[in-house]
Amino acid sequence: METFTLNIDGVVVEATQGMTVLQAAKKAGLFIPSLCAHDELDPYGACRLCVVEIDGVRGTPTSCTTPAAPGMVVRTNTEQRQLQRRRTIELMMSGHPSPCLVCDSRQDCAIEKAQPTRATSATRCGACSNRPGCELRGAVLGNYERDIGLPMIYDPAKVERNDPFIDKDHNLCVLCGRCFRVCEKIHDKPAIAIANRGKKAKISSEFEKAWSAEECLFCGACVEECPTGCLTDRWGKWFGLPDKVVESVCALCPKHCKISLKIKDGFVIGAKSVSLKKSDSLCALGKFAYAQLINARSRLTRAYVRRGKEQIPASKQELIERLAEIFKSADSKALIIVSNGAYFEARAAARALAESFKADMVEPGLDAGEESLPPEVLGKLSRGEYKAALVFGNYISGENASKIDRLVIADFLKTDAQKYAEVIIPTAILAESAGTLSGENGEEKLCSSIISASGDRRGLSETLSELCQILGLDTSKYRPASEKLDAAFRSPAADKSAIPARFMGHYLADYAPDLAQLGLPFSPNELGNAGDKDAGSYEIIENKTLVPNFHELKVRAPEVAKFAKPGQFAILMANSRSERSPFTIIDWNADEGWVKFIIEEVGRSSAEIASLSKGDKLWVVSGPLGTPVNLELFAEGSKVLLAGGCYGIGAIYPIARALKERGVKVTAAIEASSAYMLYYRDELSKYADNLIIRTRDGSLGKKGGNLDTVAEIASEYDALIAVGCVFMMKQVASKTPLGEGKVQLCALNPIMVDGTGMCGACRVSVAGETKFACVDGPFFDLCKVDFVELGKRRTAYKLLEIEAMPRHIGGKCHR
Amino acid sequence: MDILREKRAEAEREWKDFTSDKKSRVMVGAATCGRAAGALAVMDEFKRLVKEKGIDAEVVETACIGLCYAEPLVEVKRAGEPSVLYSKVSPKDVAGIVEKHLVGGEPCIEKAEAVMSDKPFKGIQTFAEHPMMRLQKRVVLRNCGVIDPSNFGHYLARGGYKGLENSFSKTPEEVIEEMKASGLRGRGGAGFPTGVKWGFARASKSADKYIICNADEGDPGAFMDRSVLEGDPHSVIEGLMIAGYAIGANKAYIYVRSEYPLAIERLKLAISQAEEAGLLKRKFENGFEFEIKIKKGSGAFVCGEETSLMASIEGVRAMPRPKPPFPANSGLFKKPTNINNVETLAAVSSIMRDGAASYAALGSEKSRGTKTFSLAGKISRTGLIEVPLGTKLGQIINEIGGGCPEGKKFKAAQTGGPSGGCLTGEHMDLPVDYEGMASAGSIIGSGGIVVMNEDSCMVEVAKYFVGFTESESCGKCVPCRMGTQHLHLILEKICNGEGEMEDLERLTKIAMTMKQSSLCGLGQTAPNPVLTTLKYFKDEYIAHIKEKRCPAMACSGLITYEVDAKKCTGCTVCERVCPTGAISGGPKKVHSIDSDKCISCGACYQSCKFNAILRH
Repeated sequence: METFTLNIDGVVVEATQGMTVLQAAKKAGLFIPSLCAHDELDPYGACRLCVVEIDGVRGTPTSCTTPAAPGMVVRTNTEQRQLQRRRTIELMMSGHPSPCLVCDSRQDCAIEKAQPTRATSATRCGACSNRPGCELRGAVLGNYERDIGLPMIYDPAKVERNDPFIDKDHNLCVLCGRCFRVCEKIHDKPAIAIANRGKKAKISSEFEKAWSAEECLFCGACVEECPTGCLTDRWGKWFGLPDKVVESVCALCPKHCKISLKIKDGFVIGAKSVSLKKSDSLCALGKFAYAQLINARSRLTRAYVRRGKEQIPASKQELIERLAEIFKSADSKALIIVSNGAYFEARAAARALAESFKADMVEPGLDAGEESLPPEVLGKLSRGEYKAALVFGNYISGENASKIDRLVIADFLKTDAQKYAEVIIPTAILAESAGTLSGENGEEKLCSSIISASGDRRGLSETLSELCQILGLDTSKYRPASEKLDAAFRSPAADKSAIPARFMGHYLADYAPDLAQLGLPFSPNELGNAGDKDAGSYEIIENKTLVPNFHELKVRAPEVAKFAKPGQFAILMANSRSERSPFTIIDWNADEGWVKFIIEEVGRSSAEIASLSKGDKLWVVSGPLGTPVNLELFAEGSKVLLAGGCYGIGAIYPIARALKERGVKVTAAIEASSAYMLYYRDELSKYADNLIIRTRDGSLGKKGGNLDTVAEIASEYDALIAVGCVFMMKQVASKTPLGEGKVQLCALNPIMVDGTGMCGACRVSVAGETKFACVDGPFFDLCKVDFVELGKRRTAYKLLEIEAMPRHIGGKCHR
Repeated sequence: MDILREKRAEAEREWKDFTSDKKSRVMVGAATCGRAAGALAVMDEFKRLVKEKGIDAEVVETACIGLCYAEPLVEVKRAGEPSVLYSKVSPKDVAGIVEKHLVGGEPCIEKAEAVMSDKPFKGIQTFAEHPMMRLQKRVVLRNCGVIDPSNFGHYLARGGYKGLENSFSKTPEEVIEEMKASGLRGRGGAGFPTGVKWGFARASKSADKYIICNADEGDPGAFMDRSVLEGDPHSVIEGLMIAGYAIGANKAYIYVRSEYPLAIERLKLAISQAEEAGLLKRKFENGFEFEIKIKKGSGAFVCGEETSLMASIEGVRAMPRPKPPFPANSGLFKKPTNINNVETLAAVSSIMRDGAASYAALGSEKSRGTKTFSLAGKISRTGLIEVPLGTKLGQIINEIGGGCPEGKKFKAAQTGGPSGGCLTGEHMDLPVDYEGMASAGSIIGSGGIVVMNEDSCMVEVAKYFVGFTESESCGKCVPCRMGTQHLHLILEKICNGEGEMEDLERLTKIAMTMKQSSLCGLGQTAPNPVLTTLKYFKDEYIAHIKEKRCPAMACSGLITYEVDAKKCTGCTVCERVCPTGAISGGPKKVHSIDSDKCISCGACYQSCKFNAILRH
């Protein structure tokens, strides 16, 4: 290939024919900011970040689209280009909710909140699942400042959750086009493209139909290549970046594709294709369901053997011994079911056992269920003619299981049949265990164990091989021959309708519920409860979205309304299985029998409540709880500063009203990340003599937060109450005390269960003393709370909370 | 050309007959503009009466002659007399014209606009001396409104396809040289020399090359290309063939917007006529073979941009592609492609017929030849004109266009559509050519001229054009997609009296970023209306911001209305026209306006006959 040199920023750079200026610079280790450019995709030229100056070329061409030429003289970083780039970035970021990037507290906040808030809408980086992996952030940090002073454009309607597996938040989209370009590269005819023009332009399938109704195969390449948090894997997005990505083999269908697994803390948190080649493209199972299946909450972890009537946890040794004994006692009336999709080693051992003990051997397909067992086997099962059976997977019903004298079930998931089992072997599957499978062309494919299996889980091959060794059986001659894929096989990676419904007899949609949206079947008792509503008795009168993620919920709860006082809270539950969570009572009317709450969506429980609509009922509204704010502390005519942020903007409202009625001079200071996140301005103005607004990006009011307001004016006040997130209160606390003898309070809202001082979950340290926020609080001395400890306690259940994140489908939460 | 010899001879006989003064003839201008004004009903009425009265006169349809303000236009010729052009003819007028003129031989002077003859006729001025025509020089529009556009013979008789014949007598390289010598520059807006462009496409080596006619005329207020396609479709087809011969292309697409159904119909007919005559889809002796297809656009403004247009023909989403590669090397279906605009191609056929020298003799030094313009807005004579480049703006607006109607004061003219800029009263001596317009911060563009008078608010005008580009931006590149949104938001703020002085700086910063950074011409030029209004009418912006006042009294958010109790007669007209029920009073009582309900639409102000509505 012809090589030549060009000069970039004074550096002589070597390039080959066909390279763009950007590629030449990159190869030489020179950095030019860019976003839409992608090594494996054709030049596109949309983000306009990589503009450069080239001698003899008019204007400022984009380096990603300009072919490098011999002798070219390129300047990438002159003052004018920096300015041009900064302004383009400001334009780009004005359509991407990014107040965090210009917030003065950005670094402190990132330390305080190492994990982004699991909000439903990504209204800022701190509430965006993709913060750890955001390329946009990487490309613009250091170059982004609000020099023109553009307002942020945010449209709550742009959050879409109507498709399986993929959350779409078009507010985050910068239309770099990588998604549909990679879709076109892989699938020739792309399933998605830009629809509409101008400000309405967005990534969409044809006529804005659901992707599941279109050609989209859910290979997920678009999600992988999206540099922002616009397209995300609904299930895996909150886990953060993987520690490593390891190549493995997907065993979910006979094709046995190569697959790259994302591993974090020893868990599989996601998967992707090994390359962007069409031949390596994954199906929805590999891309999305794999991780959901291997992390299923109903995985078996303990081995059991029956002693008398009880299934008792057993050691490996006990397990093997019992197995040997069962087979020996079977008296030629045994059944062995091991799928033909299992590892060769397990199948060889199973065949050896079957031969040795003259057992009936069935090797059903991966996608099969009980109904596909041979009729004579089914007949014997129903007549109870088997003395012993070894079943790997979910291939027999509870009814048939009950008729087998000595049943051994090896499985990775819990099933009904297991209660009749004498031995339960929890198996390691997929990347948890090593073994051999057939490759697509009949070659043998060795799969290695990538993550360690927890609990008593082991690969079935290992357990059976050991058993055979004890029994003196040679398994090697039973090893299955590797087979080519059947000519009639349709790849699920090329045809959605070919996605298998089952794996080892289990309906995949039971564990990756989004598959049901692709028409896959599920067990009646599994998905049946999706989005169900337990009939509580607290009717929702109104659910008003104030700003994205913030809802004003008006609930019929006459008993709560009758006794509510400013500063109190109630414990809410959306349904009978929900977590109990505390919410401040914002407003109430005893005569009409209602109370109001501000619900901020920050995780499963709040999202569940927020997804309810008028007429739905809450399972529990338990309150009023907590000690009301002591109004006696605030004398008539005194000056009180109320500082509210996020849900606290609403929480200070009843206090402002009560103080105003006492004749106190009230100033309400509120903060939000950006103008589009401010709410309750009119409501607060009714009772506050003064309303001071600060936004973190400076889009409304002065730039900054309540800490700046407090630092500036708090000394003029007799008292201060701060309500909001721990970080905000901590920041405000750092600017106090106001002075000797002045009242300064914060309201705490930690994890609670009963809310009556019994469970102790809401422990907080105040001035070295342990207090219960539910009964001693919520109000404490702002300067004496141990916020560091409080912050840590709030993240104690991080992993569980991530796993519990709800799936929103059609606006409703479901498991 | 042999195949045309017989046809041409016949056509010439037919044309001679058609134009001779032996026969009576009625010719109705029925292009889209004429039809919108009711030309078809007028034509039907003529046909009915001519038949009923047994008059020996043919009634034919022609296209637009350019005097749009006077539509429907009808030419009536009585045997032995010159043809009289009547304006604003309604079906009611037809009987009178037939009776008086066709039968009685006395033209209806009060409706007569001009006479199509060298000398005045019975006191009617000649068409050439018509104030709208005097300064015009018709090259591209040579046939528009003169021939029957559906009649192939008419085109042939007036020298049609002689340009192609002349081209065939030269080598393609010589044709390109001829084009360079003519000085013709792309009339779509960019003004790139046509001959040079053809040279690039010629130099590209490929078995297949394409030539595209860009007929996706999308600027608000522009209708030059439509008139040419409706009035003289063969001139474009001939131009395409000449271009195809010159660059070595064998396939052509005419990309025409589907909002132009009549143009499409005329083009289809003309293509089939050319095919039938053996001009298309047939190999000439010199080996040249050519095919033309029509591709209908679906109304995206960005398709006027060449790479988007090609994407649209290819059947994918119309978005501009980065250049390089340039279309001359890799264009439609990745083949070398040349794109010319309708008017350019119509000029090509004329240049190749009459020679480069006569064309180059027209116009100014660097902008040779003629240019068509559509006059629209607050101007007395709206319509389609063609003048030599370099004609002064004042001549176009005041002499040809007749200035602003109703004695209102001229304020500005927006040239070049949403990509152009505005010019002011100070620019009346500005030569309208590529260089002159650029020096004033505007462009010729495709040739739209929208005139604004003292009632137009320049901030609102800028908002209108930016609103247009905002919704027509394809959304691909950041500066255009976000820049147009912010420009529009800020202008809206200012029009509502919520602007701040910092907004002016913001507008400039956004505009400059868009000009520098946008991917295609749409985004690069979209801020022009903002920049030029800011340059020439900054005081209007400041009045909106500082005094919360719209000097033109056009921004409804800044106007309040009240009833002058002394003048109100209680006639109840305003009460009845008010769309929001904000006015109350009742008969014979002084009315009042409820300012909470009033939306400042101005309906009361316009309807009051007693000047009793006060506007602040």
